[in-house]
Amino acid sequence: MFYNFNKIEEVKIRLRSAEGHICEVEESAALMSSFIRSMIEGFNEVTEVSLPNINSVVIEKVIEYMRHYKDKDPPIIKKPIISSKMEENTSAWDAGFIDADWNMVVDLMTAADYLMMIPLRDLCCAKMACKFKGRSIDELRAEYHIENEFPSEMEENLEFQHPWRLE
Amino acid sequence: MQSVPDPIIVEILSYLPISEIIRAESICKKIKSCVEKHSYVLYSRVLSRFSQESISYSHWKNVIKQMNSPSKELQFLPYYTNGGTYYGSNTYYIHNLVLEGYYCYCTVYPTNILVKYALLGTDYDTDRIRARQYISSGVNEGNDRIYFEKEILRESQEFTSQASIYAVIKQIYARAPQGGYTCPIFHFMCFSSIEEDADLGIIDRFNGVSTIDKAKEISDQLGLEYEEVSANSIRQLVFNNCNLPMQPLCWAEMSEDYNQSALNLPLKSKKLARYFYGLLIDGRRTNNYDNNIDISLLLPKGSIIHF
Repeated sequence: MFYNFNKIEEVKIRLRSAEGHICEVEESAALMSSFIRSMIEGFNEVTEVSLPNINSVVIEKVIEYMRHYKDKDPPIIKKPIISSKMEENTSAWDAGFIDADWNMVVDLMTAADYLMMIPLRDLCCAKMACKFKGRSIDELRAEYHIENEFPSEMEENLEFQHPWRLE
Repeated sequence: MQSVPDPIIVEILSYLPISEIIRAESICKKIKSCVEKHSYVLYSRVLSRFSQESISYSHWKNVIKQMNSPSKELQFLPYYTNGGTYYGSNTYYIHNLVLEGYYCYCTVYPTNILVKYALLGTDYDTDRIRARQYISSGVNEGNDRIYFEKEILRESQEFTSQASIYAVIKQIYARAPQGGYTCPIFHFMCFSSIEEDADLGIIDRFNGVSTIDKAKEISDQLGLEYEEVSANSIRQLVFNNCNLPMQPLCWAEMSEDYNQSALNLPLKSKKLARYFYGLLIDGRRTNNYDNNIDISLLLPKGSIIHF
């Protein structure tokens, strides 16, 4: 009798988001998260993990990353980054995956930190570093709505000590 | 930014070059406080290269300031060559490599000549260097394959280790003679190291490499990362930092054009060094009689760090 092993249904892990939505992911992919791995290994037959501080949009994004790297190692991003363009620091897939706005990257990074997914956290950190690289202080303050908290004397002192900081 | 936890901010900053970490400090108090609290973590990758375990935050800021000061000629003095000196004359001695003037370093041998330089760390005193030329002329090293001026090496080593001085090499400056010499430099490579006893094996691998494609092939075999750049309308290679004690800096070709006899090659990454090496691969022969290498200047530029 022919038996198609590919048709064996893989165990699915249900991830419950902050809004209570359920997102399903294959167990082999979910094991990329050390947090989920410890839940599965610590409590037999766990099939649902509650993630009360991660919304469903971010969970779906995390799952996309888990599935892509289920069977291979993510590329390592070298420090320091060589360019403000992610595609010059890592693979094209990673660069496309992390091409998101600041809030999404922050949420993804927080989720990666919580889920203990170091490669994803590193990817987010590198992406945020790209947003800093080669930009002036004034540009960064304007983009992220950061007020100048330094008194003018301190600004002058910083400029005197490190004139190249504004280069 | 206020919502991002401190350890994550530190991790983000760790992806930036040191000069940009310092710049980021000026954005807001939260980042400044993070850098101050975790400066050792952020700067550890650089500190380890200085063999420094820990230095104060203010001292470190001063080091960073020195690293980023404008480039100038570094006080490296050539102390060794295995290429001999043309006619054994002090007129063509290796010290010309760091002295502005008409005279060149002229070798006896035609290819793959290694010149070693040591960091002196003091301001250039050209009279002192010229005085050394006369001292060295008392040694007939022209016909000797190896010449080793131990006094210069000992003096520079004592000085740099006592004062804890390092050079940060940012660019390479080379110049071929502009006339009157028969074998102007054609191809050369530069290397640097922090220790004097760094393995010279990597330099030997580039002996005779007179095309950029061959230079790339050898670099690929050695796992070296490099970038191709254009200078004087010629393709050149500059190398990224690697984990070897002997760091390759560049592979270069000099122009045949009289008006482009000087080559200024900025490096992609800063290199810490106390020793500098020039591998003079070959010269451009202009007649059938002379077969050696003539080179006016070969020196690194950058800044000096005092710990």
